[in-house]
Amino acid sequence: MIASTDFASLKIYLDEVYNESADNAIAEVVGMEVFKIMDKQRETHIERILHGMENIQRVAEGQDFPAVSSVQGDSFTSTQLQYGTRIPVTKRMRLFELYDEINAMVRSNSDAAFHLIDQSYADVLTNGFSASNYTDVYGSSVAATGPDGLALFTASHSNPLNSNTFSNLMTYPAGTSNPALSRESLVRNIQLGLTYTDPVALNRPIRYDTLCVAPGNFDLAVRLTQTDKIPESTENDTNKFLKGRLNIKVWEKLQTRTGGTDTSAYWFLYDSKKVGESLKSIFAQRPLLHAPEEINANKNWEWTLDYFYSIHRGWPAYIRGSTGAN
Amino acid sequence: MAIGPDWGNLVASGRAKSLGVSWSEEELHALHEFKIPLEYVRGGCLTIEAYEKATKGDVKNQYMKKDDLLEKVKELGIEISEGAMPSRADLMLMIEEKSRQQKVAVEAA
Repeated sequence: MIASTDFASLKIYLDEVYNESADNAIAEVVGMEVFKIMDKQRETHIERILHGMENIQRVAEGQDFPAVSSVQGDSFTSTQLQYGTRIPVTKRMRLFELYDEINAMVRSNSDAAFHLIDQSYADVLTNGFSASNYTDVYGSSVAATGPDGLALFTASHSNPLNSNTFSNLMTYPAGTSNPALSRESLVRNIQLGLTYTDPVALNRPIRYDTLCVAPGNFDLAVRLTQTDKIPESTENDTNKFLKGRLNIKVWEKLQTRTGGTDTSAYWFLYDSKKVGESLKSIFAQRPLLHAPEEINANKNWEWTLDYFYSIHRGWPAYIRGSTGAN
Repeated sequence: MAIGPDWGNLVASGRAKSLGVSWSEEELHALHEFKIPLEYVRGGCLTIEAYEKATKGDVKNQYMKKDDLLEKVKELGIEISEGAMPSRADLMLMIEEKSRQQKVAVEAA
């Protein structure tokens, strides 16, 4: 029998189970390597996205410097939302000292929390081709639009400064969007990143260095980017442009998005140093296991697991996406 | 506090179709490639042909901004009582009715 006097030791035991399980789960969350993870205690995070301002000019001696104005940027607001569950240690479990069952419940729920967070990140990418709301992994309807009111991957991202637009929707050949993963489409879109110009038409190269794919495209991604010669070609041409340039990030959660749509052909290129400016996640509280403060009348000791986080979007140029449909 | 982009700002600057509604790819194409004015794209003109058709005769009223409709009502000599706040649809009806009356008068003469 796990008696009331054993409550303190059970608490320590379950904290250890949780910490071990969470450590393993965090190591598998690919989304935390793609999204910039931040910790802030503010409920609402408002960010002004400033990119491509036309203020640096030549100044004469003694002349006032031109002033930068924040009206040149869009803003984006995200609010912390809470997610949680109860993990009851019932009278039956305590009476028969079912440590395996108690252990499994904590392990399973903590593991699930991190998988849910990871899926919520992957769904941002796989739902990034439409501005329509989508149902997230928690069953809530969430907005898919970024600071410019458009989908994450759009051919005509706009800015408040002028009418110039840019695309982060993969293109190959010219005029065809959403190409399937191929050497040609990789080369073309890496080049488009290098020749990217900001709203004031200044070239600010984006060095896409990571190819992010679902497991379904893993083998193809390796063959395209890690061979010395151009794959499946009778010519002896070098593949140096791709080999060594791209890291491959296999994200299991990209294979099927929440709702069951097969998204295994989707693929993404991002600049690992700057993708955090496009995609962020802010935690007010990372997943935590809390012991009950008092024993309930139903004899259940209810542990709770909860967390607060939000998904935040910024300037979307540092990641490009394709559904692979064409 | 609204979550997401500043829709009010985006709509006011013509970068969103309406509050919470983004431009579709087709609409963006019409705006940026065909340079069709946004009021016409909001009204459903996505091709040059549709735009040209919409800019002829009274059809174009339905694509005009409310301020422009008010201006046109004044030009046509339609009087609006002080303090009245006619809707966009009311203004379009007033203009259509006045145009119809003018046509009848021309034909009778």
